[in-house]
Amino acid sequence: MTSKDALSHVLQLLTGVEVVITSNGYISRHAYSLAPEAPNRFYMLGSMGMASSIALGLALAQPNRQVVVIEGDGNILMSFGTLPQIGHHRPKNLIHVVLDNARYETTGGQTTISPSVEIATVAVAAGYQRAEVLTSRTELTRIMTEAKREDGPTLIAVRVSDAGEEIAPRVSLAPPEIKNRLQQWLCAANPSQRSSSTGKQ
Amino acid sequence: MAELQSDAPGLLYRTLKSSGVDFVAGVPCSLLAPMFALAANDPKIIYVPAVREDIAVAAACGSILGGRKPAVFMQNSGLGTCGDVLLTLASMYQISPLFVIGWRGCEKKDSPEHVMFGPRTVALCRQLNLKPYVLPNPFSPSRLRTALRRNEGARTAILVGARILS
Repeated sequence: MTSKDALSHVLQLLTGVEVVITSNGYISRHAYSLAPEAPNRFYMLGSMGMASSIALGLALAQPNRQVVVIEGDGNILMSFGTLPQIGHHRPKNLIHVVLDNARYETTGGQTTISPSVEIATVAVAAGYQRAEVLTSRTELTRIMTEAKREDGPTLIAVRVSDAGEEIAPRVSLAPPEIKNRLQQWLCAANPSQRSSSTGKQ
Repeated sequence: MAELQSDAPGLLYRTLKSSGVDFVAGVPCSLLAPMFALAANDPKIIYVPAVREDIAVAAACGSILGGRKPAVFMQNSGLGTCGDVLLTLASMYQISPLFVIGWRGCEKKDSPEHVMFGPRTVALCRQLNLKPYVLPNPFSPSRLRTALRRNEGARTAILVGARILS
């Protein structure tokens, strides 16, 4: 599988009620190009390494809503301390997908150190409920389906290989629009949520 | 030397809560020690004892997406860890947690690492699109509450110097 295949497959397995947070670079660009109108998304355009921390805060704030964060190996390695942070809080509603191509794809394919790191082993040691490493679409379907049903946090590391992938255009929404669209969608789905949360600059 | 205001930490903590704060994420600072104790023992808020300041800021921003009103507690040295997340997450998306920042090195004498950050703290806040609010000693809760209301959405950073809370 390529990371684009894995990403589109993960998104297809979701029902649209989950919040999906994608990391900076090609992952957000691909996710946006697949469904530019989907309001349940947060495209993180900067702040490399922080997608899973944003997901943690959101998962704790809305414990009844499933939160899915999708990031690359470069992102997870940049803030590896987030794993024990998530493991400490153990949000049941968090699914953490890592598309591991062992490269910083967006900046030109430089290698990462992920081949020498057992990310799933670290996640379990850090307190995740479950962590799996997989390579096939069939396994991805099975484990995502189980993760949606079971208590998390669950980490799913998908080994992917990217070669000559076509790159999606940049996310064309302004960052405040991305935030406002998600907040409005969450407010509409959960009317008890405070409207004051849409802070103005 | 100014005297400690009676139960200053309790006053500050209750002021934050009466301004709506229901989520606290942070990395400890000795100047804020009583504030961390209050947050950690408060069953009515969500408390994230963060391992890094940028994780605290990102988790606070995530909680805002989920409808919470967070405060980030940290030391001024943490501003050095948070540059990217403050500019390209909080500021760029217009997500506005409140900040309570222990201001080490605000006086001439402090340990060498704090002397590096102390004199740069106010300018650093401004560079990172935070609005510094130097907490006076003693402080007036109602004036602070008014300032927070006026600055809603401006990412106010309450700077807490030495001998104000502890």
